Amino acid sequence: MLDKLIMYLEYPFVRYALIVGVLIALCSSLLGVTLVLKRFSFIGDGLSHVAFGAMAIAAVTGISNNMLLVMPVTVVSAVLLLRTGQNTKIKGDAAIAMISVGALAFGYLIMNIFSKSANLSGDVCSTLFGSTSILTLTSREVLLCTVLSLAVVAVFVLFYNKIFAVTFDESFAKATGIKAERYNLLIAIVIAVIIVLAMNLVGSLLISALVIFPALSAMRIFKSFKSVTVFSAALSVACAVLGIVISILMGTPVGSTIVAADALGFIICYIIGGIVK
Amino acid sequence: MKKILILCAIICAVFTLAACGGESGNRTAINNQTSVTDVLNAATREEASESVVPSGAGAKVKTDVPIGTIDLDLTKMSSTVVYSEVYNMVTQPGKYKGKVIKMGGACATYTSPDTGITYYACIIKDATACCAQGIEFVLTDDCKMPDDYPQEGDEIEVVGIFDTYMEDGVEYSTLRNGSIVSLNLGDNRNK
Repeated sequence: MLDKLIMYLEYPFVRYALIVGVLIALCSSLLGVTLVLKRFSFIGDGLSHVAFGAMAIAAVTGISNNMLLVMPVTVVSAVLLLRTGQNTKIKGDAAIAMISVGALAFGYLIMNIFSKSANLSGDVCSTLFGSTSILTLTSREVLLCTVLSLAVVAVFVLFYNKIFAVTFDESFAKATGIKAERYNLLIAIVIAVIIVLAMNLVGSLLISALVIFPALSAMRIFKSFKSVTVFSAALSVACAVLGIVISILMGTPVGSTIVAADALGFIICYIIGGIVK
Repeated sequence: MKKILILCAIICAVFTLAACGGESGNRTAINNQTSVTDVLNAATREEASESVVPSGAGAKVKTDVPIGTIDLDLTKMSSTVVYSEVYNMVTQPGKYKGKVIKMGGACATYTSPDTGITYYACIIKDATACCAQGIEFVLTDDCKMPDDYPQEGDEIEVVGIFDTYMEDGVEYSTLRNGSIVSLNLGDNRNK
């Protein structure tokens, strides 16, 4: 088994998958804690469906670098969703659900009607479940992903205190002079970037798992924001590596194997949390 | 008690998820030499008893390809890695030109309506079985088309030299001087 793994590691695309997998898992878990605490656990799902819709438009319009369309559309949707969650007629969860299914339906419809691809079901499946897209990355895509991931980590570290304040009590943060709207906007942009990156790893249907599972697992054992964030990041990275390695060795789908590893991690943390209490 | 039951249900769900897509066991059985021989023998018996013989039923199977000559054996890799490797071969063919490749998958055929030429390809699927990649193959000159070629849907293992060619301004990948080293008749031929 180890010999086989060493043999597979000689392939550049396997090494790229591990690098990108670790970076995406790290980024998603960092923001996951904030999203879970702000009751926005499902925003990842909604935004990923928006990204799917944008990707469908990019595919049928022949835009070679679909990131040019997918990223701005997802960022705008993230900003709108986080803003409309507060003072509008359509409340946060309903807005997310509406945009989520709407974008998914329109995306699939557009791909069905206008797609020139000979393998439509394959394209859709690959986007929804990640399929093997993480194992077919080019060195340029890996570089882009690395730069964006490092930017996300840098933003989180630099604005850690402000994000912490806005996450726990927005009203109090405002009262102390923190411009909460700005930081909410920053969180929305960062979330959108993570979602677009994570689509390569697990596909748009399974992204929420990367955001939710590590944060919830960490919350079973730890209580402080800092310790939950650190443990969540470590667990997420470990599950991503485990999932990718298992899928490579056993030939299982990458995305669902990573999510299964995350779910297993949650069960273990749930049991440990019960014993510790 | 309720919590324990919920926990058991979650564990079952996780194991069910993890079990999906694990086809390695089936693959081993398909690629097993005895199993192939059995299938070929059965096919020969069927041919003898039937008056109508489907074309390609006697596809030439060569087992004398020296293992040492194979540069890249895709049949020994997991389905996830095979799909990614074939994807790379199609998208970056320059890196693989001249290498002796062994690959296994389903045989697919396409006859051009303009030229009447029939193309044969070995198709592999990814772990989710929704995406497929294929590489065309051309057998050695002593093999005649279509009698010595496999039929659509047959499970094959083919060895050939990876090469590319241009046709109508498009670059295609192919395995030249190919040999079928293993054949398992498709469902349509076993009926």
